[in-house]
Amino acid sequence: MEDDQQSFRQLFNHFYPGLVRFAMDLTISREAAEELVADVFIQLWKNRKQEDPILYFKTYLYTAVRNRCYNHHRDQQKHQWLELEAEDALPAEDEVHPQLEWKEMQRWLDRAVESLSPQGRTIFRLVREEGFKYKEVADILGISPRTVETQLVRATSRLRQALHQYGGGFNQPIPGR
Amino acid sequence: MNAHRLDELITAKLSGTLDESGQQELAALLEQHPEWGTELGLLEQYWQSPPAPEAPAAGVFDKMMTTALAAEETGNAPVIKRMRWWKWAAAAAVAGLLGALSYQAWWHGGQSAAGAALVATRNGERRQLILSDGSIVHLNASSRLTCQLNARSREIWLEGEAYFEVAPDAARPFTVHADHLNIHALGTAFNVKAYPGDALFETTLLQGAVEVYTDKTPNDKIRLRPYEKIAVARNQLRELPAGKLEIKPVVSKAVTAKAGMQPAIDSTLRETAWVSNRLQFDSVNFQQLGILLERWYGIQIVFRNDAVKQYVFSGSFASESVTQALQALQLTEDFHFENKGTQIIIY
Repeated sequence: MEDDQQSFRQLFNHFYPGLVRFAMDLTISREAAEELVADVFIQLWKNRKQEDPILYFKTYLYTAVRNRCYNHHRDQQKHQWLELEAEDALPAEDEVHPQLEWKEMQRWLDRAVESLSPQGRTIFRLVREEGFKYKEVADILGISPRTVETQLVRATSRLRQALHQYGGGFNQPIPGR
Repeated sequence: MNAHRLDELITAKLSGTLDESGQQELAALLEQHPEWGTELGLLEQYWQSPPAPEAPAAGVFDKMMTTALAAEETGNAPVIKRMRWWKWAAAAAVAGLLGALSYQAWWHGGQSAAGAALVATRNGERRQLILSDGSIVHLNASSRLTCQLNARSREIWLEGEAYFEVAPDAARPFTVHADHLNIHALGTAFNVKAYPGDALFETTLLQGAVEVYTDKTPNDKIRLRPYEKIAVARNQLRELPAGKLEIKPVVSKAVTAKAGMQPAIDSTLRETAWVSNRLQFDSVNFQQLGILLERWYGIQIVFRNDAVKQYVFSGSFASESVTQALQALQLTEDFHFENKGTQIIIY
């Protein structure tokens, strides 16, 4: 029993941060996100005696969180993607950064990602940070793989725009990671 | 030039979905516009350095668990003593391999030590894995890999052959154990060949540095330099003093690796050709080649003629079927074969 809980703790600690972040991307508050992710794990624990293993475990977890988020929104009568992109999150076109410090550039690009639509941002993070394939992201979010691709291309376009604004000094070497 | 097309190509490149024709299209564009290459490099660097997730506070799990256990007491189901499916998932998550593999692979993965993740390939099957520390492992056919990654160390147990591109992390040593041979990596790319049935165990270094030692000689480490190989007879591993280990240079057709380059798989090298889906062999007799072909194609080879076993071949195969491969060998030496599906008779 102790051993069971120890394994379960490892599983929880491994997935919890990413799942909470994902839930928050689906536009719910941190408090609600944490509660909702904990509920998913409580359900997992209850089902642990089930004989059949869950296939595609990670996709299963994210889908479970997504469903609960949508239910949460439905209960609150406001389930919708906010389609407007926060254009003002990026500074004016003519603002140019002189610095080429990698950490700063990274933060600058993070801001560009933040400025994407919530759907675009979520898709970008699921592919880049969680390593999901287009098809998996489409399954999790209940959208078409084509939409996933379109949103990612939009993210690339936004990132390149941010790079141009950053200073244009691409011929200089970039410090290592 | 259509900016949108460039965005599409870059997106595919970043997410690893760029196909052959896309690669050529992108390469052609970058040749015309070198400045885009720098841009792509920056985006790749950004893409590959996602923020490290913060571990949840200690109390978060306990709070959830209290609720879960309370909910359970009302249910009161009988407890069956067996390994629960999610324990495998936990073990896999610890090694960070869930992202790279479907859950099923773990379920069928078989017996593994607690807290370690295991993956195995059959004859004819090759796989690429990404560990949670970012290291990449190419696992050749008929091989078994067990890994245990934690805050202080990265330990791998290997039976068979694997090519490692180790993510640098000075705080967590990366060690590969094969039988009684140990390879300690220092941020690097290297190949280990250690099939239980083979007479020789080989370690080949492509980049960086590794230290090789046996269980008996932990304080007598041999350090390899790039493009050096060490071969140890398996049956001597247990008694051999490390000083007797012999280092050999390996010859690459590619230009010598430049310092500071990303670990690149050198496909011109026999030792690592398999990583690029090429089976390459140099002056091996037919019996040894038979073992290689069995692993590569996932078939069984039976010799009905002892003289044929002694024929010596050099060459390489990539996309050929096993029949085409054997036909190619027939151009060099005189022998017959009969393909019975899973078994091939050579006489």
